[in-house]
Amino acid sequence: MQTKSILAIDDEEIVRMCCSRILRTAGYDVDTSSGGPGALEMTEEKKYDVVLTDLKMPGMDGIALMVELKKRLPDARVIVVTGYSTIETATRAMTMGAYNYLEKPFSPESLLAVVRDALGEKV
Amino acid sequence: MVKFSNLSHSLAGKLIIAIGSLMVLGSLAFGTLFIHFEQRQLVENLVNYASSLADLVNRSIQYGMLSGRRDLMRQDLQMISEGKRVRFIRIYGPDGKLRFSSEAPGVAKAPGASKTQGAPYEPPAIRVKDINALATTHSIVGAGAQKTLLYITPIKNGPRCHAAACHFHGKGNNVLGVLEEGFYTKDVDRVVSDNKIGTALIGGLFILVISASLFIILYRLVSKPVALLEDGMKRVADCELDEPIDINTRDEMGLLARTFNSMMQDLKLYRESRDHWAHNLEEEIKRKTGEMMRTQESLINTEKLASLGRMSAGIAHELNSPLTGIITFAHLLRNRVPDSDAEAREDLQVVIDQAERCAKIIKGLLGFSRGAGFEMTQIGLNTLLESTISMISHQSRFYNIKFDLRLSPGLPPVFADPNQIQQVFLNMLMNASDAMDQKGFITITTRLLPAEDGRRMIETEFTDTGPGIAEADLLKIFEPFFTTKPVGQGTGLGLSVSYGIIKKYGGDILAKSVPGQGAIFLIRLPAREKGDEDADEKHSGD
Repeated sequence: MQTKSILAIDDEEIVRMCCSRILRTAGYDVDTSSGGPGALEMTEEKKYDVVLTDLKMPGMDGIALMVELKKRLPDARVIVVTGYSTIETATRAMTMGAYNYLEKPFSPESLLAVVRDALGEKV
Repeated sequence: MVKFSNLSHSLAGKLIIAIGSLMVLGSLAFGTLFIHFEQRQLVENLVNYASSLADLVNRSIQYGMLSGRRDLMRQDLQMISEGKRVRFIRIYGPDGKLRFSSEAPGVAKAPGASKTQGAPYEPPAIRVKDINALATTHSIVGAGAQKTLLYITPIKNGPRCHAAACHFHGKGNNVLGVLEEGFYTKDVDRVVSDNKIGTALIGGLFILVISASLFIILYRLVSKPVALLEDGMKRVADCELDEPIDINTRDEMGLLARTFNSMMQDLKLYRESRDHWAHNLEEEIKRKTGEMMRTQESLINTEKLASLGRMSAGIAHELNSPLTGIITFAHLLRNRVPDSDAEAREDLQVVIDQAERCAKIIKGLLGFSRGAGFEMTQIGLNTLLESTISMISHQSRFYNIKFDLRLSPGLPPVFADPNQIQQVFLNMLMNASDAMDQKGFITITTRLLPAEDGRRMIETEFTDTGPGIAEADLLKIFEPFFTTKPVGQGTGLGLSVSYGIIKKYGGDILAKSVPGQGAIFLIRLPAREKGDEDADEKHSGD
């Protein structure tokens, strides 16, 4: 089975580190980016199955990035990670095309659960 | 009352003195005139008497002379002179010499002569220049006991005389002699003196009676009412307005008193209305001040919560990422620790638990920053309460708690976000459960409050059987981060978030407690009225 590729975008390094450590340990191919423009560049060279993106970032915010990503990677599923643990922000993102959302701070189990769900794997 | 020392200064006193003086003067003038005329009348009477007596003497002389019986004539004259009022009768000849006197020589006294004068009295001869020109005269001479009315009249020659056979007097002699009569005046004097005393007595009595009557009348009509008016004015000056002036006459004084009483009544009404107004104003100011302070307090609280919301949203965002790191790496580390090292795994589990607790606190803080994107809808509070109870009754912390729902049927709905209201209800129930150590009774009552300022409020009451809230804490429980729960169990945010939510919907949240008898929380939310729906529809139409 081909290794699934995941792109994690967050302006904070600790979050990027968490994502890559948890997902790599689980056997996924993980790339990270600290912002929207860098992430879009990376999608030029590589296809990703799941994109995890923070909602609030300097420069380009998560929603705008998600809209761009959906154009380039129509098959990729986008999971928004939000620091504002409000259903409303997440629901808004989902109406804009996000597949699911994840509240910060997250535990390794919850991250793996949403990613596996997005990949259509058995949770 | 009128004091007599002040009488001369009072109106009545002045009037009495003036009228009394006029009466005294009038009486004196009247008395003097009366006495004068009476005296003149009496003297005239005496003179008339003298005249008739002279006539009698004349006839007696004529008869005596003509009949030649001089002795008879003397006898007659003596008899006449013995009349009660007659002092003497003297007759002088044409030469002025005394021819006859009723007085015995040496006994008679000259008018005005002293009693001690012992010498025999010889009345003087009447000196007459022309006896024919003599006219009848009278005069009063002497004083005291000797006072005498002298009446002198000529004895005229008549036809019977000069035609008599004796031819003693010729036709050319008009006057044959002079008759002098003296009369006592003591009767006249006595009557005049008596009348003087009588007039003085009657006049004095009259003045006295009139003055006394005048005094009584003036006292009743003027002094007494004036004193009453003065008392009344003094009372008004001393602000005693309850007792009106008691003058009920129909005269000017009565009119004055009635006018004054009506003025006093008006003054009293004004004063009462002023007092009432001042009192009301004080109450109103107190009420408004209280209202203002409450509004200000509420504004400060709202502002506090708003700034706290902004701040907590920022902090939450900043803390979430590091917390993700802590939780993730603690997990990774724990997974690497061999199962044999249970202690290390437990220690790492503590790190994970505490980091997750931090996450929970942050979630609580975010309650403040909520606001946008809520779905406002009509909520039936009774239904919402029932669904909330059924949701939590499966949680272990409510296993040993009995609920008593006393829901008032037919309540109007409230217009709010159901999630937020449910969050408030959950908060109340969790607090009650914690306060009762997870066992006891919670009574939930809903009721419609009577309209106030045109708004009706629905009250939801939560009563528990816990230890209650200390009075000092009652003031602080809605402040953020205030908690009485043990460290680690409460964030101190639940009630302040609830407070913020209820205030946002125009409601109110109150806590009451008698320590030892549980706590009561009252949540009031404005009822949605018919008119409100129309207003909302209009808004959505815009």
